[in-house]
Amino acid sequence: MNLAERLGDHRRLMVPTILLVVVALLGVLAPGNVGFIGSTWAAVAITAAVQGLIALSAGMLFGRAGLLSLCAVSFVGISAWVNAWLVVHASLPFFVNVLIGAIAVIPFGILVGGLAVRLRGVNLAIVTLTFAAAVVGVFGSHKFPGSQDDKNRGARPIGFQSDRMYFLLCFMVLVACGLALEWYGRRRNGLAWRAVRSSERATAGAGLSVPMVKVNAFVVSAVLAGIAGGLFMGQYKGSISEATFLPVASMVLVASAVMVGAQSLSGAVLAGLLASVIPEIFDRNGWATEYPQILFGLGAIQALSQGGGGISAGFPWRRPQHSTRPTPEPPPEVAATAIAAGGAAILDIRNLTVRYGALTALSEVNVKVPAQTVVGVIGPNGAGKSTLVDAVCGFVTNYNGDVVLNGRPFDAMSATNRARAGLRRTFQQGRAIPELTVGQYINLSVAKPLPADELEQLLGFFQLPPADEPISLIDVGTRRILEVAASLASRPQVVFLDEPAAGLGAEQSALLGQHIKEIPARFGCSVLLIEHNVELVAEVCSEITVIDFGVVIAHGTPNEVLSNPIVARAYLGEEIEHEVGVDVEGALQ
Amino acid sequence: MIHKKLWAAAIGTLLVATVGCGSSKADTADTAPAATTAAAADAAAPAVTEAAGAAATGTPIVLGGVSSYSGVDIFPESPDAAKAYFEKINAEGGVNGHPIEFLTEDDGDVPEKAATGAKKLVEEKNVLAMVGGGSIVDCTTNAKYYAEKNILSVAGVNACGPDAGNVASLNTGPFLGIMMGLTYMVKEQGVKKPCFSSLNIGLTPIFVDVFKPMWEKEMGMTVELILSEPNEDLTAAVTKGKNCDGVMLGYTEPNYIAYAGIAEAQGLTDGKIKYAMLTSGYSIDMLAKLGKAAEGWVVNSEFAPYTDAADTSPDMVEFKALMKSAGLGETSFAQGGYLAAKVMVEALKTVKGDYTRESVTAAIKAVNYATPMLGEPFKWTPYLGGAQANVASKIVGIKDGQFVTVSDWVFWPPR
Amino acid sequence: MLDLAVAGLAGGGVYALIGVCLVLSFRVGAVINFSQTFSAVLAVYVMSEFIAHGWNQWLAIVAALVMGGFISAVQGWVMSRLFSNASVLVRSTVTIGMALSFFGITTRIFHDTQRLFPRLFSSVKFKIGTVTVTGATIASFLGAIVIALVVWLVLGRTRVGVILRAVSGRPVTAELMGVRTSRYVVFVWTLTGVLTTAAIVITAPSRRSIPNMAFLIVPGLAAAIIGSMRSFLLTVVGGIAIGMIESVAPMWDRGEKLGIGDYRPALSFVMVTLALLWSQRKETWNESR
Repeated sequence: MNLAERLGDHRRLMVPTILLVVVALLGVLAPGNVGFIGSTWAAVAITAAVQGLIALSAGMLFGRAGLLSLCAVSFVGISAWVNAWLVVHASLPFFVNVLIGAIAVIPFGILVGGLAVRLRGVNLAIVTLTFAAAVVGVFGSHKFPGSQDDKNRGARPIGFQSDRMYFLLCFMVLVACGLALEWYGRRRNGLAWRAVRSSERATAGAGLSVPMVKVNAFVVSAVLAGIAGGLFMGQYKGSISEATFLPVASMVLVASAVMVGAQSLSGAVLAGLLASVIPEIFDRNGWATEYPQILFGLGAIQALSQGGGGISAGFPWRRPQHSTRPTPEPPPEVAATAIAAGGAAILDIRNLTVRYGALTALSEVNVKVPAQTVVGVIGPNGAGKSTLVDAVCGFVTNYNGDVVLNGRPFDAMSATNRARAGLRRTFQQGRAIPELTVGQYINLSVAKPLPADELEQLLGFFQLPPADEPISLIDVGTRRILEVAASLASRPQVVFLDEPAAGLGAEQSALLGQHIKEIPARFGCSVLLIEHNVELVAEVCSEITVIDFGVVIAHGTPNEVLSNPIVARAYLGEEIEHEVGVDVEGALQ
Repeated sequence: MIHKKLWAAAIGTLLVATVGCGSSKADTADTAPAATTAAAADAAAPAVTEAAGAAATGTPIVLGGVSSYSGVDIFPESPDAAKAYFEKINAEGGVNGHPIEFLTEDDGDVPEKAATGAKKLVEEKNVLAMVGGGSIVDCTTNAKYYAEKNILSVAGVNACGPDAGNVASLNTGPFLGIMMGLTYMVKEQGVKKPCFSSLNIGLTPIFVDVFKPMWEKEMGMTVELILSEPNEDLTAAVTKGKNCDGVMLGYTEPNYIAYAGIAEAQGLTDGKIKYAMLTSGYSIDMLAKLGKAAEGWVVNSEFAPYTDAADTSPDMVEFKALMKSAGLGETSFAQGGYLAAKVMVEALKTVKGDYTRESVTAAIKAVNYATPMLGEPFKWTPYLGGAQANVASKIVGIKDGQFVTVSDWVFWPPR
Repeated sequence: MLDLAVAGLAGGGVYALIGVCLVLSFRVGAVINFSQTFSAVLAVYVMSEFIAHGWNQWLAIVAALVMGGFISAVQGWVMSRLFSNASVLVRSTVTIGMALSFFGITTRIFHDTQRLFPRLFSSVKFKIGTVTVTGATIASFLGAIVIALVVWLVLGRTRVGVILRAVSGRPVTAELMGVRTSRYVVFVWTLTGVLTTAAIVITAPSRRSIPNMAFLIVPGLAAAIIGSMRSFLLTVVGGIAIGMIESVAPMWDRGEKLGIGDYRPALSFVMVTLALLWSQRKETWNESR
């Protein structure tokens, strides 16, 4: 793969690249007076570049990680303050100052981001808003160094003194940051932002630490804002005050970032242009400066009502396109070497009890999963099957009993660490992330990207589309199979499949059953299958455990279990209810 | 469908709202800072001139000013008054036959916009000098830039720390104003424990670092500081003021109104504690809003007090007539803008030959303008290297709900 | 010290009231309404315009409450029509857009004029030792407690409360059970609009400017976070604590050098930090699987 392919499909990069070059050339070469902009247009262009960078910082958090931060401008302010201090107290080169400013905001990023790691995205907004108010207040009594006297003001680097050259510098920094973000966004850490946005449970289930992913996203966003702070300092040569960094400025920024969809470079450039040119036009015409604010506010609401992608989601190069690669070939068949029941247990669930208040969801449940086998857990709706998965995989922490994998007790471990130690799961509701490609989604669950041939084999085995196919373009049934494939990519010891056939057609689910049967032989991993489809379970499992009202009511080979009258009563009774239930649910849709 | 209807409704509502306020704001429209102002001024000038006769027809003399039309501390009065005076001059034939084109930029009370605005005027519009600016961020932001570009600023309302060589402002300014107010309270009202109560923003740090020690050294006593955050309830500040017997209030209008209300509620307006305001509190409009709580308070007038009915000096008469015809209120900020424009016109009259930045600069530096509105003639000798060319003020007191002049000219440093 | 603490009750009551409204709209409307104070400020400035035109002050206040409730109701209606299925994040982001629009409109219309706001209950005033207690202090302090109690009782102990909680937890199910969800949502938005407007009316004379009033949302949010976005009573305690600490803090501010009191703008942030550190001791997962 060459660099362009790594950055994405090079066809897609061509149009934005040409546009960026045109913008840069216009910035440097344009004559002194261009229509309404006049000879101070270069200053406007600098504003566009710097605002674009700040918009990227906020847009990236909202668009990629689903985190709403209302203090992007405060980070710009902190960095600018540090830059101002450095100008007054140390004579370091411009770029060193910018770098130190960007690094200086990292502790604040960790503090603020870290506070909200266990909260949903919107609570971060509260933390950041109070932080923004605090920063402005503290700036009130800690003036920007040098801003009140004329001696020590910030300067621009040699060679970039003029507005034109300084614009070029800022624009290059913006483009570099945008490309770096694009690159980072395709690595596992960056992909994980999308995962957190989509589902925190699924993120942990893929072996990623949700708090680390959030803090990571917040710190990257803060650093982008920090770099912008250094550029801002040079833009106004030190004449800055706290009035620029009011919380409302961050709100305007978030609104414009949402309106445009500033999570990508092209969106950020557009956001920067809007944030600089629109106020300038209003100013030049003597129109009220409040109108742009109102415009951004309504624009954000409009963008959110349309699905939240913002204007830039409509750019041709941002639209998902079908893969042009050939469909991966299925690998040669391997005989399903089903190992007889009763082998040594690789996963041992002992006396598992889960209580929610007065309700006992699981009571003294024992399940053993032998190495390289497929075992099933069945039971009527509400029997406690999913609670079992949640508890074993660490999503319910206050249980009694023991979970032991390969002789190692798991009870003190977090969901993330359990996944890392070889216990993976899928979810009842689909958790595939539409913004990713098939290959990206699979690589999200593994510490290091799979080698190309291994990835190809995995996709071929499950008859999935090529690795660069966007998930948004594949059907729901295939997405579910993709989730099963992803859970196996890291070669876990045991994988929990929670109703993988739900929503699949008869043919697809029969095929899935065939694949599940082959998993132990192909991937050296045991499967604990939770299914409503009793035929599927009977077909692929060597052992079945039946749960009803949180208690194990039967255990044995499929034949033993299915001929057990207790099971028949519990299950058939619920089958009828379940049929009714389906109808009701159908009516609800 | 629903979405589209909602959007139509939202946009419709907004339009109604903005059109509505647009019509109610007709008076601000013509003071809007923009390049269009000049054209508007030119167009308006002949209409006014019909009675006076020949309007100016020569090449325009382009002047500019950076002012706070929007933001927290706004001073549109100064450039508006300057503009009114220039329109009068243009209608009467201009300066040596040249009309004055006066361009203004809004700095939004933030340094960044002040810097951009100055740049626009100096480099894009090629103004010959700055005049009539009303802003407390212009000088601290742009003094160095004006010096670099060899352009002078005769401001109406401005405030600078030390070292602001190219800006001279007609107002006494907040720093000297605070020191004069404190001095008056100590010397005339027998205050022993003076305090300074203000917001912890803007110029306050400069006062604390530079001017407070200066006053304390001169007067041989200390001033206690009471600082609030800009968004705080002032109750705590008022309550803290109980420890003082004289409080110099360094606020803006809404804060004086709030302060007076709280002081009254706290029972502190019985005259035991003396209060003094900066000149922002000196407007007829404020009297009603301050209410009887402010009875006995004093305020800096900065110029000959316009509330002094006995003052019939030609400049005062002209100022009042001008404000009336332009639909502007009488305030000391407006006096500053008016006088700045007057000083500028005096200087421009002396220019022989072409109007260039050099010739105008030389003329301003040579001007010596005496008027009863000022404690002493205006000369280009900025005090302490700071922006205030005016170091005199009169103190006005509130008595029976009226402003009454209670002192002759007071100076800083005291004479 | 004591008189400063008592003075802080006035601000604290206002923060508490705003916090209670935030918790209410979060619990019932599944949204953190950042625009709550912003729409109320618009109503309060219109009120000041009425008063400037010579209206009776109580009539103007009633008009402001009606207007605050109406604006908020329209917002709630838009929310329930366009964003009923959206996530809390999206819905809350929408309110940021709304907040900006209100802020722009209010600033556009009213920014350049000095406003006189009615100083309510100013005739009520008594002294305990050296401490003066004003009518506004009593009104906001008691008002916050009473309203929090009423909301708590209604939500927890009545049929309407059960329905409201059902509307927030399972909107589709509630709709199927015959509950007109959007009506309840609009009702709650109206209620929070009226209450927030009342809070702003009380505090307007001492807040002085549009941004100061609008950003009362910050201590309000801090109070709500102290109540974990759930508990009305803890929210009230949090709001009043913030008000009192903020009022007493200048005791420790600068003479010549910076003191701890100079950092009091960070108070809301510090309170939020402490509350979050406490409430997030353990890892939790959201309810949906």
